[in-house]
Amino acid sequence: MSRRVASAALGALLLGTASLAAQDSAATLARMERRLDSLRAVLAAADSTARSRVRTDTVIVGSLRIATTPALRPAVQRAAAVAWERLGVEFGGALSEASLPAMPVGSAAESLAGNVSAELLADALERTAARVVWGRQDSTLVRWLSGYLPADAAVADGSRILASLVGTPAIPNAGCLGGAMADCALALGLGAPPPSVEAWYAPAAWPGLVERDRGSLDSRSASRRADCIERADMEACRAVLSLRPPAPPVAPVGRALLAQLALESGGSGAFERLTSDPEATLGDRLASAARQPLDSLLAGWLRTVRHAPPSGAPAKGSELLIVLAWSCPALLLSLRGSRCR
Amino acid sequence: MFRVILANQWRESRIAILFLAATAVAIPSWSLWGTTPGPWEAWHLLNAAQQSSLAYPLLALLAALTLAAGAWRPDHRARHVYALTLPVPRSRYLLLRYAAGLLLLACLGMALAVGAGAATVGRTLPRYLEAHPLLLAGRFVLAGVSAYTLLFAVSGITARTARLLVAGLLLLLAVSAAADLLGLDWNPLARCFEALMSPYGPLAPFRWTWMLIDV
Amino acid sequence: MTHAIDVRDLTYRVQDFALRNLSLRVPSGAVYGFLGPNGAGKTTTIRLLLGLLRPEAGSIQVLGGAVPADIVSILGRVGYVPERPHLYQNHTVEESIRFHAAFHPRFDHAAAADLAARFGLPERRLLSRLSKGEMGKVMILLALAQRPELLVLDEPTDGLDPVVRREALHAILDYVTESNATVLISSHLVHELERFCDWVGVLDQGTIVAQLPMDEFKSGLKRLRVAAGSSPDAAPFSVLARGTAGLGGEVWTVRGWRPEMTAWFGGSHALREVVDLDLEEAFVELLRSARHPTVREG
Repeated sequence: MSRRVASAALGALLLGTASLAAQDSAATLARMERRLDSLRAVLAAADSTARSRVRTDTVIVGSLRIATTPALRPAVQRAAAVAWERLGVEFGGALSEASLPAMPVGSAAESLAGNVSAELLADALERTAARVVWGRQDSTLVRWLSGYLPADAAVADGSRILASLVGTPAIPNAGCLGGAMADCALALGLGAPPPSVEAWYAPAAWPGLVERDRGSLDSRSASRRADCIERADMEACRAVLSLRPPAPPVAPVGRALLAQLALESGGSGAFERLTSDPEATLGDRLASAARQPLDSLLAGWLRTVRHAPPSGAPAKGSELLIVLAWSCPALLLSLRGSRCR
Repeated sequence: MFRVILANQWRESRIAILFLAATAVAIPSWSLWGTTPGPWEAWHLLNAAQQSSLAYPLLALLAALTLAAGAWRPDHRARHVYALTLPVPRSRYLLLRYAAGLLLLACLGMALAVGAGAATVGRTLPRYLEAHPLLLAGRFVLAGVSAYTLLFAVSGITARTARLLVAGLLLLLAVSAAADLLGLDWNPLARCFEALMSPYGPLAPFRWTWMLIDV
Repeated sequence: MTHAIDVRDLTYRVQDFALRNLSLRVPSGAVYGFLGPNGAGKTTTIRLLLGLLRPEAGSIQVLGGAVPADIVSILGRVGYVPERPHLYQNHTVEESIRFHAAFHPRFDHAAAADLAARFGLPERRLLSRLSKGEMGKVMILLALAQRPELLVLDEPTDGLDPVVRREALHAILDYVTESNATVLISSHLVHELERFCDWVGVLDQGTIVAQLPMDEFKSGLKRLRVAAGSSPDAAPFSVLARGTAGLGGEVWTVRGWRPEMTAWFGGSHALREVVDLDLEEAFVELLRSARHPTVREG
């Protein structure tokens, strides 16, 4: 069966499944699930057959192992070299010890076309490898980063981070904005053990916190949620908030930005210093990576966040110039409109 | 001369302009409606400003479209014969038409400034938050000018030039579709759009920050 | 003699129509009837005069200025009434007058008010709601109120009822009388122009067929009833057409006739009658001969 026909059948089945599921029939659902599984297996087989028809090559650059097609090999080789260099800057010597899984690159269509963007590929390889490396670190660090890669955090995210600092009514946020680094450390969850909801939020803010948590709840917890939001029942709020970690006072990308600043500041060996002592507090680890006191690192982070321009904005004061630069030629062109039509 | 041309354009588009002005006055207040004091007030205000931030550039674009069309519609309808037989250089006539639209756009900007000011004046904002009614109105006018000028230039082209432009766009579409079918990593249409919307492109104002209240 | 309009060797082509080496001269102060059948090129010629179209070759001088180099100053002295309404339909009559006045420094508001009253125009009504006749009156009002030196009227009374036509033409004549302005009026309603044009130019298929004073045009074109067997050889006039008449005679349509040419027939009684042609008949005969020349030039 061709892949397209299988996909269409799968799509039709999914639609059918969706409509049937609304009827809440357990037996029907089970039957549909079994059908889905068998179709998935068919798809996987079709994909595997397509791939097996194409001969694969393996590109090895450092710890990167990439399975690709002969047509794409040159582009993949170049991209892998670029990605390995960037990974070396980010992870240093730790990268050579990492055994990264083989990454497949290239579909049958791409191999036919023989075309792929080296820049995009290098980015993708770097990200995939970085995610593997970060994902293998200690659970404290991984949990703290909340799925963000430090390399993903950019100065441009500063405005978003600042908005969360200002908008979230967490206890340490006001102090952090006022320059109290201890509060910034608390807001960023750098202490040990991880802070509780009471450490971050005053009770007056709990109903709002519960309201913003869109996670699913069992019926009892749902009832407590309603009590918390509608009647400001603090005990109900505490019960609901105890089910999951509270939303951090600062957007998670703020933590990634702090880690990125620490790695950049620390230079060579920064990643090793960050990951070598999982038992130390996150604050100590970041300070060690950055080769500077935590307060200094946090002050730099706060400065970056405060002075980050809004995303999509041009250089300050150039807005009028941009408009004039485009409007004047357009107007001049239209003014040259011929009299004779 | 300017006064009669302004009156002509006002008459042509007055209903749309009044509607846009009313919208410009109402959006800021409507966007902040229901945000009550409390621990989460700052969050609510920022959220409200973020959610309504798309409305302002859209309004600017609508205003530009309305005014550019209104500038040219009377002449298009009359096949330009009257305008071309007036004893005034063509460039001056076009400048008068353009300027009339600019003035109307500035009036809409003022309406937005009034609406944004009314929504935020007298309102005590949480610490670290600031209202930017004039900045918002200024950006509205700049974005409107950018789009209005382009649309004014495009609206005034002759039928022959319009055909060439459409042909060029269709060619761009065809090339993009062909590149996509061939699996080439090259999309000229997307590149054009990215260039237009880049931070220094002609449509850059539409991706600026449009927050009435911000940190 | 100075010329308000002096066109030489004008050439213009569009699709399957062409003006070829057109030369047109309108004396200053004349009321020039620009005649021609539909599709002859009258409107095209007028548009070329006003700079709305660009010729391929030739020169155009209007009121001493060159077109298109001096077109802005020329247009300030020309009142134009086009074939089709060209004003902004979203204006009222009053607003149209105000708009037009803003662009013409010599605009006479008193004259405009006088004409509006004379034409019975509803000043507050939108142009889009005016009848054809009322719209025509508005265009003529604007053209006259700006006190032009040259009036260019392209079929100004076409489609108007006789009462409106008369009012419009009277208003134009009154203005011409008091100001000595030049008028170029194009029409295919030949009989209408006969009464007040003093020059006539006939255009056919992009070419000027005749261009001369009206008197000369009318007096020169005659229908002669002659005896059978008469020959036009060596005649001092041009025979445009020959046909048989009843009772064995012939009918000659001739051009360039003068009364003293009766003597050419001698005393042979060959010439039986000289019949005057009105302008319309003369126009038709002229066109016919231009399209199918059987003319022997005298």
